[in-house]
Amino acid sequence: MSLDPALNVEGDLPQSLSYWQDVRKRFFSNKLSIVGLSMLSFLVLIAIVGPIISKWSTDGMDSHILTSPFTFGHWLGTDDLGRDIFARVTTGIRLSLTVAIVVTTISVFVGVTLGGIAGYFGGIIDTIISRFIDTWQVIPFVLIGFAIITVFGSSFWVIVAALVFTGWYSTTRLFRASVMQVKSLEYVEAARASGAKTSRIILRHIGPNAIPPIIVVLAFTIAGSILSESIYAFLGVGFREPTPSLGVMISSSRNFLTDHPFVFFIPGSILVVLTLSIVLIGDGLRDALDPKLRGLK
Amino acid sequence: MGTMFTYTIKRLGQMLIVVWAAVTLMFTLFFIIPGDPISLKSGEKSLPPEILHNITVKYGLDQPTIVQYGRFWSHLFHGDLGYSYKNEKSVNTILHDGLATSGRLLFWGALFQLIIALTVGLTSAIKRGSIGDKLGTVFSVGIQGIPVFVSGLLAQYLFGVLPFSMHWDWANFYKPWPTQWWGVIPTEGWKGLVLPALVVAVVDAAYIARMLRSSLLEVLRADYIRTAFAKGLSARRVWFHHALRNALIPVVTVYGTSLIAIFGVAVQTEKVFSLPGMGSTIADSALSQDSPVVLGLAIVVIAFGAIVNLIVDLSYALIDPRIKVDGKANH
Repeated sequence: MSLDPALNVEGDLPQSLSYWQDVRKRFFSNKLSIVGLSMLSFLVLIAIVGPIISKWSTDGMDSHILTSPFTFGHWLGTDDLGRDIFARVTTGIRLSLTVAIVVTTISVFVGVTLGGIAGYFGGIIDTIISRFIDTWQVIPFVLIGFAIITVFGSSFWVIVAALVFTGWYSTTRLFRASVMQVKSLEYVEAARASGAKTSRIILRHIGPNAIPPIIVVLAFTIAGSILSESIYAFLGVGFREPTPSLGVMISSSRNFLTDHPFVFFIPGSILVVLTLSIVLIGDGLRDALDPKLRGLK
Repeated sequence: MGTMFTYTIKRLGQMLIVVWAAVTLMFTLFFIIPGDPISLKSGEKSLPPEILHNITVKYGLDQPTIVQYGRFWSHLFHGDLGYSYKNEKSVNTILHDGLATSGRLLFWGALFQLIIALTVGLTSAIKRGSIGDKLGTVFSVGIQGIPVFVSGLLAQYLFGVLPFSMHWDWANFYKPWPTQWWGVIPTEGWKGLVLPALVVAVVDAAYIARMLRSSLLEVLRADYIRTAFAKGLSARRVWFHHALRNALIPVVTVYGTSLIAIFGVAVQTEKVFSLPGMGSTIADSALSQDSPVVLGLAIVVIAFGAIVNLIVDLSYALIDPRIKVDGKANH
């Protein structure tokens, strides 16, 4: 997988790759990111088809409770109320991913706006935003979530809001740093010297070059939101029974750990594999998008 | 030294402002909660209006919010954190009890974390490319996807259910620990401390170890390391005296961040292992909308995080003489 033209046996001409072609190539040559991508694709697939092909509903109860996998027509067994674990777990993946994607979209939007403003304009605006982030950072994220969810209840949008409130500052901080870095580059100075308007500099010159870090943050924010959502559910401040959230399922499985460990292991391992696959993809993207590593094996 | 002194004072001032702002934010968040002592005490019963009035006056809830805020600070400066809405217990007592458990858990957790991180990081850097090193990489990537409550339950299963078949000696923990919270070495009930402390430790230990490894490998490429070897110094001396010292600089920051984040870890660990610490007390009080307890304990957590932040910044300036102490030094 060398890009050295002398070793290129596929064609007579040396390969010339655009930045994004090179990124794609390097991402797909990374074993761990392939593993992550396959695990995620598998989970997304069963999340889409699972609830459709399962003949059980997520909250329909069966008289066979806590049955082992592959008995009485339940592929992954039933929980303590006789609900089908396969149906609940696949719906749980849907819920986790939906929450995570919505939260990430909003967080990145907030981060890009606030971070961009702070990073580009600097001065007093930057100081205010930075000090606000400092303050927000020392409050443990669990407490902010507790406050919001106890006031407004635990509906979908309240949980999304709580997760955004706990995650907005990391995207903001990162995007601020990224904009500040790009801003000081010579081509931005050149654009300004040639009389480009601020809006043009931001949209045409700084924006595109600050995108790679956003893509990486996107992956890690999705993974982080899935984790935080499950932590809230476990602590009793997120989704509650009977919502089929992975955290809720794990929380309810605690009492059966000795005799029916699969009730814990199925949602537990799915949560871990789901987060891990996204973390692996994020790691792979970070390496692939880094222009400094370009051309290296 | 003069600059170091002014830098310390400046950072201290910033820390105080951040703590004030964070506490005020928490006050705002928790005093818009519709929880009130009346509904917590009476439940479904309806109380005579005189009693309702007395309760409201007792907690100062008849005053405007700004007066309540002023009183809150005045009480805080006198070392009084207020009283629980639920059972009239003083928040100071609740804090004292919670700290006894949490302090011990976090002390041992942070200590284990440091030991594991240093050992694993050093060995994997010295023996890089070995099987142990590769396993370390896989482990440190894998642990990132496991939330603490899952690893806690997994630990309970692996060490409590599996080997001793239903014998929950190591996993069914809580036998009350000695009540003096300063006695960090529990003489009885220590078995119950090992597993939760390890769960707390493992979360970031792998990450810190990776950080130490890559930072060590980077330092080892430096010229002065080659010079040290060329002078004929022993490998041990070069590793510990020249390399480790410089490699520790980025690690200190990561260790500090992980200490600040340890509260989120503690809440989950205490819930999983049913330990009556600060974390589980805050969680339960927040759920029952017992605002004074949440606020009182949160102040301690926030102050702890801010102090760790300050220590990290100062030690950063102390360890690395290249960092100029001029206000731009932080980060």
